[in-house]
Amino acid sequence: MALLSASPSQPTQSAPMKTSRGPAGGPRRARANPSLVVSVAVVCLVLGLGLVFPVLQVLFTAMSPEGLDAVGDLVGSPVNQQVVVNTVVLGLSVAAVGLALAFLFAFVQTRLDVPFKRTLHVIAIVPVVSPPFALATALVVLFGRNGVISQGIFGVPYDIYGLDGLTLALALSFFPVVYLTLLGMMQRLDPSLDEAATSLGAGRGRIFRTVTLPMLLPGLASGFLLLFVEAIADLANPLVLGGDFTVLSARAYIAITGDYDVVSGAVFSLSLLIPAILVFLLQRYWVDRRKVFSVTGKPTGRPHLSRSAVAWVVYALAVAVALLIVVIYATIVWGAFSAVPGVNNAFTLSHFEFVLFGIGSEAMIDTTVMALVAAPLAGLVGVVVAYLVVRKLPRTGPALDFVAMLGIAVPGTVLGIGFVLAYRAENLFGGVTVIPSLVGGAAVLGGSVGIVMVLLVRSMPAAVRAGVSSLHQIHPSIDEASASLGADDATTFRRITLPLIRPALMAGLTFAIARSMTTLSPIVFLTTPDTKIMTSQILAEVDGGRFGNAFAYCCVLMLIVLGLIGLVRLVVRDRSARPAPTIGALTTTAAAVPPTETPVPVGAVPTKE
Amino acid sequence: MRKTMVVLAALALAATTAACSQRAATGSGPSNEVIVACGAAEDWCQTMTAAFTAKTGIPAKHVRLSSGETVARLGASKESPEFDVWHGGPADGFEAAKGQGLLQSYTSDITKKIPDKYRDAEGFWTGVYVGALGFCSNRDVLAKTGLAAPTSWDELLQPGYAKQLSVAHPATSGTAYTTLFTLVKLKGSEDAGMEYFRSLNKSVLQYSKSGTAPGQLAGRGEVATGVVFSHDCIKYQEEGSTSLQLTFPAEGTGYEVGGVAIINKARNLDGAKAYVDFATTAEAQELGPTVKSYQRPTAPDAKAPPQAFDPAAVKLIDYDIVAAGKAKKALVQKFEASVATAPKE
Amino acid sequence: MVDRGTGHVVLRGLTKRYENTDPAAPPAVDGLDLDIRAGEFLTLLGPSGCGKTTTLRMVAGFETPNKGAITVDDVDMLRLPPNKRPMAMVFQSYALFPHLSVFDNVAYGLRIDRSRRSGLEDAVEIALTSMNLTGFGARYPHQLSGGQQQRVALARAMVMQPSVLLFDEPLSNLDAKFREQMRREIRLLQRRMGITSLYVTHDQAEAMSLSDRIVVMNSGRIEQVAEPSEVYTRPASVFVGNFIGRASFLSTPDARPQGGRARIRLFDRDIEVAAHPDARHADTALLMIRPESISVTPAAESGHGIVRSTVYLGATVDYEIETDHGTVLASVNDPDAGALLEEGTRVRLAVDAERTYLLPRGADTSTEPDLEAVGATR
Repeated sequence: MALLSASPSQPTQSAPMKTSRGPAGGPRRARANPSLVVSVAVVCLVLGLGLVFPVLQVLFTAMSPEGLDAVGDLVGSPVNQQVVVNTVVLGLSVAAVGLALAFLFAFVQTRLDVPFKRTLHVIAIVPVVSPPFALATALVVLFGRNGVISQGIFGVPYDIYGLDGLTLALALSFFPVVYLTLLGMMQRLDPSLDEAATSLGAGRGRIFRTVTLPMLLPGLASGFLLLFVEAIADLANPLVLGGDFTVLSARAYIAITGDYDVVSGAVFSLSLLIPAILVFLLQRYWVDRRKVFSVTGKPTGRPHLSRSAVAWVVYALAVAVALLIVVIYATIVWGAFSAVPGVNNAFTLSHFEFVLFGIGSEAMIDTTVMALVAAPLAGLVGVVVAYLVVRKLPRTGPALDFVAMLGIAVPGTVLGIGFVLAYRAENLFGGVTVIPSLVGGAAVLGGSVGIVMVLLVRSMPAAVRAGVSSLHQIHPSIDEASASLGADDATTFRRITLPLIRPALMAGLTFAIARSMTTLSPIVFLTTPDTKIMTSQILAEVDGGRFGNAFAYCCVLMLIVLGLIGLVRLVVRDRSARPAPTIGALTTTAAAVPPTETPVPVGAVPTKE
Repeated sequence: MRKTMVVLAALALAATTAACSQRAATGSGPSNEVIVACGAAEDWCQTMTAAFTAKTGIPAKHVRLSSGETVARLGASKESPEFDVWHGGPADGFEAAKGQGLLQSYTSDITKKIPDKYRDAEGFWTGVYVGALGFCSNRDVLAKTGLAAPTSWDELLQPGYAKQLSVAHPATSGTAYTTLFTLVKLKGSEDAGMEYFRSLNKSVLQYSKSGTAPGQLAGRGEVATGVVFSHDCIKYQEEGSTSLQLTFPAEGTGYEVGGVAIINKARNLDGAKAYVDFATTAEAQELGPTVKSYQRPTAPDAKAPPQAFDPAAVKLIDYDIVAAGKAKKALVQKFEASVATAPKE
Repeated sequence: MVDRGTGHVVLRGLTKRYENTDPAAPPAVDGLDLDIRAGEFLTLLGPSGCGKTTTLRMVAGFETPNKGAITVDDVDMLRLPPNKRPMAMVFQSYALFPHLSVFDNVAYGLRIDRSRRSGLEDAVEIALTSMNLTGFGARYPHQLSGGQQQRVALARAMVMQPSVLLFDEPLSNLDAKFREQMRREIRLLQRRMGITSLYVTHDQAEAMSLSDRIVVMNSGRIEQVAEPSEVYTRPASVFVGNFIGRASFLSTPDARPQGGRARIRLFDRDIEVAAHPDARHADTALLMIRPESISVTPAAESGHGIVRSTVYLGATVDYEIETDHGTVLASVNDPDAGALLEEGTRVRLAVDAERTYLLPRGADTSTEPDLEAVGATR
């Protein structure tokens, strides 16, 4: 009975809920909702122009005879088969490790009564800002054969190149987004569920397995997907840390840069989509059968914080990871001030001189301006996509979700080349210029439109994922209540949904900013003399072996990102000076409010479908 | 709503397919501006364009790109090129671009001063610098392992070199392919060349992807020796990796030629021609060393920096760039199959 | 706030079949016809899955029927989206907006309707006062008790002065004591404001105490529409009799039904009881006896049955008695705690003929109400 009274679940109500998200089709159309049509149109336009059209262009190229040869090469050659296997292995291991890290930190924040939680929170978010090459290069300096730690402290010439180093670098780079999502979810879990389970005699481990975990499943699954896709699409880390462990993204890059063979590069890149699609389908199959709501509009109490021996072990683990992150970022900063990081450690300011007053200053401004345009758009469109997917389009939503996710699943090189193919020339429709040249030197606004579009589609998926898992937690009756009080969809979205998923929006925005500032591979194809991008400058410095300059760039880039995130927090902040009703404050770095400061107003309704 | 969705999807599809007709972008920027795709270091690119503008009064801008990216970008915007000139980067990239019809031929009195072996016979590209392959070794590591700085390719095969050597992978790096082709030449046949690399496999810690990475690895002491172009090794030295030491193989070494070329259908053809002429002058080629780019100039009247390799002291093999370019695909495949696949396994 | 004479809701042939369900299974709602009079409090009552919530959600606009019509005061509702329908709904989970204060929750709907923005503060204050929430306006939902949260949810719907109020099991999350109190308040408020109310519950006590009329549903169809007393005393079917209150159903092979009455020999007495029009043959009829309409006296020798279980409830005691006709449940008021009949005691029984009712057995013999429904009677 305890369980029943604690959770307002009515298993009997499951049937109506099932289709509550949309009309099922009847004799008369009940609504022709203009705001819905407009938002669907906008989203379709953004995804169509920013993603589908350019990728199709590349796809057509890949359909050429040479492309088909490359397909044969990819399927037939054992070398390439190994590359495919490597890619999947890497994706899975990064997803597993990253998910574990994210959960570890979220668990410490929400369930343990331990000191320095805020510090841990901030440290866990730091890697959101990981400029390409920074983490990987720092890892080499620290743990390479001649690494400061591996050789300097332990005297072991550890070989970090390969799967182990890659997994570490990628997991650390990408786990913060998942951490933020899980954190939000775990804070909104109804503690009475745990209490109920305890009163039924379940042990802590059992509660975790049978109650907590299933409630978190949507977040875990979408985190896994995000990590997997990010890991297999990443290029910079495999280039630095891959060693002999070659993955598809690197192979594609090699085909283009080494063999001057764009077509097989495109084919290799596009084959990246297959594992991404598989994982996506798997995730859908798995998660859609268990739906869990924790924001029902029926508020409850605050969670019980543990301080047991096990808690301290978990805590120690989190602290160890946090220390690793601190050391890595300290290395980047330290490297920016040393002549040749790890080799000649003489203090120097020349790298910063180079970046701030030399070649880099232009890039700094261009990059920041474009990120400032792209990131808010990405955050907003991402959340709208999530809303459409979860609430409004029960049937077509998954497809939309998938297309949006392609933004990161499509390898950067493909996207970059696709943009050049699609938008370098003017696009005509019946002889009239519909889309002027968006890419390259003579294009509109110096080619910055193309770059902003790429940044937009590239940084949107995280916002979509954050939004989707956050919306899945909000019981549809909250929306229905708003509708029943006379609000149309747009009003409900603005007044109810957005405030409720503000943490997710913040996380999405934060990520979008970091993403916009650190995107590399598609940008390489889109930079023009008028639009210099910091990451491609970093690539040039790494290429030239000037790690000091590269690290200095990274430092400046991180500072800019942190500054922008601070700015966003100021702008997006809840302006009504009322107590934050949800876990809003947590999702970003810097001045985050400790997670348990405000009680979390939610209940939990597990609903089977 | 489903109907709405279908209509929208159809519209989106129609828009994407109907928009297929494209027209070359009409220039909006100042037409006298020269846009350079620059394959060298950022500071070198800046110095070059600035000097060009100072000399000719023609404004010039650049984008720094690796050769592969340049070819990909040029290929994707064939009909409406973004660039007028491609400057810097190894000749094999220029050969690839030429093969795809991305360049146009240009010769002038100035370019003809460049020795024939450093420029394309049909004038599609002209060499502006030369770099020779060398051994970039870390003195400290050599001392620790009891090795001497190598002076022959065969020295790299000795057991003491186990896991102490870094070369780039020829599939990913022009430098490494130059190395591969050099050894095929030196050993007399493809098979003998492959045999050499099979023996070398024991020595190699990692086939890096970037051509300059072996120099970095040596500089950081991860390996004893890296095979790189000599000017890169000197550059690392000057950047602070002071324990690096450069030696050359006595039996002969290969070299690269860095080129300059005009892009096919360049919007500013006159500016591009002026730029190519400028880039082939001694005056322009002497700018490299001021920003630590120590390649050897190709202009006969240019003064070579002391850091560049000395053709009197270093024996160069007879390296046929066109032949090398033609053999590349097959050789790399052979290398991948019999020596080291792109992943080493 | 007087009866405005509006809110006449008509459902005609309303049918809803969920997609992805077995096409052979009956629809969730199957050809429902219903008239809700203006100002009436009507309750949809039935076990889980009977279609009551689906019906409510179709009225609200959250589900689209496959067939049928819904009108309010002759206006076709199916053409209107939920937010344009003259209704307000109170949700099972309250669905309070967690990020808004109590005041803002209640004011939410008024702020959306531009014409009602003037005097908004007064309207909200009145609504809060009427729900005993004076002074709570600045608080947030999570700072309130469950009962208070439910009042906010009610105030939020009432303040809209809709033509129709919809309630989706609003009290099921409250504990028993609060529930009774809230029942009274809802009833009083609804009477005072005269708003047509459609209320969904599976709790028959709730339905009895609140409703002007009750609609008992089963498997997507209406079993009976009637006032609470009629539903209780003259159920339309064994299902209804079983679902509403407690009852024993005895087979009485010697019954002779005729013209709405039936003569039966029961417990050594000939009685005449009311009979359902369809109860025409003794072997297809069952006699419904409410536990409070049967009297129990200990018998020395013979008697009509044996006490099989005794459950003392304070105000009443329940006996389960095995008789020749089957097991009979008897509930005795105000029992003497010291003189309860022990199990195994032989007893004599007498039924109040006016309160028993002869029902047709119905096609479905397995009309046992499910446990949930029985549980709800307490």
